[in-house]
Amino acid sequence: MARTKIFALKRPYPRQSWNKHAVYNLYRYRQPGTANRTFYQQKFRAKQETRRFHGEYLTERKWNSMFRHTLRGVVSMDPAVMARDDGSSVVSGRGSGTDEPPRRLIGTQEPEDEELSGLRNPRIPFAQMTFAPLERRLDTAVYRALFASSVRQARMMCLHGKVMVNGIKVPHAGYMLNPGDMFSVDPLLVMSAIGEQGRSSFKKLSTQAKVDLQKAIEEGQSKTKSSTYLKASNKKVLAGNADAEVDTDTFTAAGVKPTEEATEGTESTEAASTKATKAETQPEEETSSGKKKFHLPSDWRTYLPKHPRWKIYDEWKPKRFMNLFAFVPRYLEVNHHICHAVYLRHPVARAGSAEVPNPFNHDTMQLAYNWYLRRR
Amino acid sequence: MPPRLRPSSLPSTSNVIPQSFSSSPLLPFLLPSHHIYTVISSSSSSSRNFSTSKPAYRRARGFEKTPGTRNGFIEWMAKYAPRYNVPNPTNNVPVYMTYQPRALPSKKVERAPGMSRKKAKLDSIDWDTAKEKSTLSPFPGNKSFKAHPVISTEFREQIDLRIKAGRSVRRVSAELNCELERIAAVVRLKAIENKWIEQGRPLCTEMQTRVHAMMPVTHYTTFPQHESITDLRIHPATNNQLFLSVPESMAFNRKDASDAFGILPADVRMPHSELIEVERMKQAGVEVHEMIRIETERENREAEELKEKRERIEKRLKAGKVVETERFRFRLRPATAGAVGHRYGVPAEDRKRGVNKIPTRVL
Repeated sequence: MARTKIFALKRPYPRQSWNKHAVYNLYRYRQPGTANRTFYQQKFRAKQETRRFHGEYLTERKWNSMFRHTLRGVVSMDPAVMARDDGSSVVSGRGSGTDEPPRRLIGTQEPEDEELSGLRNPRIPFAQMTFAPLERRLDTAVYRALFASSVRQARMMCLHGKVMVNGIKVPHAGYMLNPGDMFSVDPLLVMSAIGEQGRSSFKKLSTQAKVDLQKAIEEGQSKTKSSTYLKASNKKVLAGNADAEVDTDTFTAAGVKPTEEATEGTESTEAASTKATKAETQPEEETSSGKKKFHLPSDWRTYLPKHPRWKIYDEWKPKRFMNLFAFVPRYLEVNHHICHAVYLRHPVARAGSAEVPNPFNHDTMQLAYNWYLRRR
Repeated sequence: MPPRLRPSSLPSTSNVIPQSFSSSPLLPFLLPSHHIYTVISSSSSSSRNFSTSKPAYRRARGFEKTPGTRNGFIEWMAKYAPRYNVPNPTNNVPVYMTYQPRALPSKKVERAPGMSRKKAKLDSIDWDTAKEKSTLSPFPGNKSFKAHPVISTEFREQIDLRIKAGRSVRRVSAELNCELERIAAVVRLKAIENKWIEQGRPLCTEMQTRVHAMMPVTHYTTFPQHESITDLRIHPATNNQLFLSVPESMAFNRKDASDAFGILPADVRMPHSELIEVERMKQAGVEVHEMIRIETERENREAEELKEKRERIEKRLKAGKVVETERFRFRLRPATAGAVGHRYGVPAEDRKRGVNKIPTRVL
């Protein structure tokens, strides 16, 4: 069983989450030191730290079976150079190329600035690719595509069957994506997951409001089966023209009776309030008789008269600290209009940069990689 | 009780931002990296003659407040969190976690007479570069992870338009400097988007714009430079050293090297290998018309080959006897029993309790 308390303040660990505690812990995180420690201790500490960030809900046995000692990398080739040169100059002479200066001159030249030489020919940070196999997991990919605010949340989405792969529901968080796989999540769910939290909870509503809401929900659900689809007759809303006028019909789903409908917002709210006062006795009887059990849907806020469902599309606000994590790795192509993403290829390392996001420096990752090499 | 000297009345040893930097736009870089022990409460710590220590029940273990943990967090949320929570960055410059990774340059710095060492070191920092680096690295401790820009919605439109105009994925990829896979993915996603618009499903335009405002974005220009399209995957066979004696007089080129490893040469394995031929023609001084003619010929040839391949696959699929039922379409092919299929009697674990069989591919 994975531990539930993951944002400890006393001993900060970086976690893959946008939670405020996670941000604070990331802010004050220090890389593990290596001074006065044996090599074994260094490796063990590095493994601990990195595993707390990468798939902490997976058992060590599970991760060990996923680990591969081969790491993917790419080299950027220049077609102009390849056209000019067939590569023989690199190995000409004694086998190390002719451009090399003679041995006796090497010592005399001024040593290059370390940072400059690093910029000119950066190394490929292969060790950063240690946890690349985890990036293939469906839950991690959903988090990377910015459809969830933490890997745990993404995992929950998968397990609840909210994530589709190539149009088919895949309730396995551990599904390993193949290059070219397209995965998607319901936009309403994504908007609530990475958006600002709603202000009012259901409990805080007045009794009358609850009753009204229940009626509206029942009415709305009887009309449209799916919460995402809007009726084709309602010219609404869509993408690209958020300013488009909203037909009054859509408000029927938002709890206002069609007979009492009014075009202006103020009138509609008035109507709702009058309706509320009028129908005070009737719905109570209905609920007390208890014909069928009422289930509060997760998107109940969209049925409130003040929060019609189109508003969520037009007035979405990002979650706190989202900007700190707003990046999409190169191996994904994401379309937030429809909350679909494509896993293009496996992540790779290239000169100077690796595609696996993590807060650890090269030394730590190298030690962690060595730890997992141990029994191989 | 006689008045005691309390630690609160001693001069504060906490990290204090120098006055001269307090209005600097580079403030996040100048801040010390760890604020665990930053406690600034100068106003409250007045010298009083009576005891201000907490009552006994407050001093109990459960109530003890340590600066690094909960109180430190609350203080951080009040003081520093607003600096990091920037939902609308100006000019679409992403705001990522920043702190100065190294306090000051460790090497010696030449300084003018009368200038303090610290000042000289501070001046020697190239703040523009430091800021540039931190704008694209969300994790300041990890230099090798940089946020790569994503393509803007307009860029996506352009890709889709070009594909709809009948150009090949390969050509659009070379024109717009996007990876082949990315072009194909954008087209797939765009097709779904168009379907949704047709169906009248709402799109999350607001979310898309706000998300793009927070991250680096490549906008469409005439010659966009989005990413390298000729990334050659390092072949696992080349990870091991290979010793081969070659006569010094013989030229040993890429082709020979690939033969030694037993893999295809880089000129073939590289995506967009046709660009090498184009460059060769350029260097040979071939006229533009001629180059265009050759390229068009090559494209046509490739399109034909692809078409033939597809036909072959279709033919192969149709070859066997097809039995259609309500649910399945069985394609029957002749086979010999024993050579194909599972062995009977081998127990499968996947029906056991707690063991679920995760699919390896979804089509």
